[in-house]
Amino acid sequence: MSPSLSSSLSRRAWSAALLATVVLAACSSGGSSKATSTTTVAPTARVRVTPGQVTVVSAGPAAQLADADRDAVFAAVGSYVQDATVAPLEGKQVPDLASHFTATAAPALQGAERDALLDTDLPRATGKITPALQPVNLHALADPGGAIDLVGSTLDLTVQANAKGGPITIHRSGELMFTRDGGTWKILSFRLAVTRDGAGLGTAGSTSSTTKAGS
Amino acid sequence: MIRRHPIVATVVGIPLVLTLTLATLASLWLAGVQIPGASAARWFTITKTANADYTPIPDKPVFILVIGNDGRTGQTVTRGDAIHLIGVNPALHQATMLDLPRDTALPIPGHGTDKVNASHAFGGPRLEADTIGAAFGVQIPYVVDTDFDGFIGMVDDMGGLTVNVPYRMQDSFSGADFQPGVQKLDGHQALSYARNRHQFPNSDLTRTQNQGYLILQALTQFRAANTGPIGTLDLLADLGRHARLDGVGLKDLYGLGRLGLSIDPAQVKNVLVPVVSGSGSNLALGPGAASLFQDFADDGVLQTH
Repeated sequence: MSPSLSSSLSRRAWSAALLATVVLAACSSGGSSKATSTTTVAPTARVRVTPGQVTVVSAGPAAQLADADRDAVFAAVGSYVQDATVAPLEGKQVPDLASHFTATAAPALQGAERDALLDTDLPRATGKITPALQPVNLHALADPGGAIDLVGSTLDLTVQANAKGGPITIHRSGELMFTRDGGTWKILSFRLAVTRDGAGLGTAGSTSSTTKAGS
Repeated sequence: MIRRHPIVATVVGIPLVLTLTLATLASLWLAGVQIPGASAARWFTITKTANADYTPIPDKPVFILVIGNDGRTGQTVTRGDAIHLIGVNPALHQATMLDLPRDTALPIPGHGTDKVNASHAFGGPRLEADTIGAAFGVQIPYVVDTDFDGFIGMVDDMGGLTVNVPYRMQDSFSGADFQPGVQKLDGHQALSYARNRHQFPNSDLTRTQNQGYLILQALTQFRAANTGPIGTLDLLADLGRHARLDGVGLKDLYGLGRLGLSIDPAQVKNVLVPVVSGSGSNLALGPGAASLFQDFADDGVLQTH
């Protein structure tokens, strides 16, 4: 089957990178250097979302993803990754991840696919956390009237951190499907694979695991 | 004498996979608007029946009726000949396809008892769904209905359908002419494969099973493409150009499509509903049908059959 794509590349995607709402400035640091002798400052990091290509396939006339929606989805990707992967490593209380998902998708956070969706069970980082998110591409579907309620995004994230037992590397890749839900964009479905590697994962040397989830 | 042409179950594979998912685009037709630049060819109609509200609850099965009707150009009254009811269990990632011979006599709401395919002529896919749903003891929220041309166009657009023909098939009525072995069928060939019944001693029963096989092959083919969430949008866009959506939205179809793609064809039981000879040319539900339906209705999966 050769889908007839009426794709439109958003030329503004690059400029969107400048939008503060979408691009979260990288500010990773091992803040502990400023800690006093009696206070430990946990390492922190922010995920930076670099907009990639934006395409739209339409059941009707050619359509474009509105700038506001495009930016909102980019922000949703960054926010999810921040909460699901970086925050746990920071040792922070993990935010309510269900808020990133639709009501029908949220149960996956408690089921067999949990391990691919978040990193809450990993050791807390003791050193610098470095998240590297590859440019995020968006692909949207417009209905015959031009409305867009489904936007897919790519995800290719590598997070490196140091924990008590040594380094940790997390690589999470795949696709997320977002839909409008109560005025925001939430994850409707996903296909993700996550690989975790490094001595910091366990106490007995290097361990590695790969989990896939979603369909 | 009118020759019946049950279309194929391919539609089923598509419902599970593409149809359900892809039909999204048909919203244009829903609104009665011609999609600019879209092909005029329509593969099928996807109907969301009254009160249907599909939500992918893990413990809740979803039932989808796939109908191949005998409609051709200019024909206004059509019979729903190829009949396949699919139950999908989202939690177990298993499904069951029950194949019902078209001549099976069932009570048709408002029309007494008649061959089940007549319900399509009386009230279209909705009435056929009501008829079969009542007999099987399930609520059917979605119906995929196709005709000859729709089936052919669909298979051709898929790039053909690969099947393993188990024996020499040759039937002048349907046009089936296949050597045994694995081969790719185009739309016309797939239709003839699905229509072939004169060659078989038990006629429509074997044909009905063959249709079920085609559906599973379609599902196998779609799954082999390993389409992810993003690729599903492309499928939906393509499907939407060839489908008429009756009360079905894009998000519905996306969810159903992803569900369909999550089902391994090896986890789909294809079962012919037991029938016996009835009055005249009618068939009647046979011994075991009631327990089969009961086993099927609770979760879409057969535990004891």
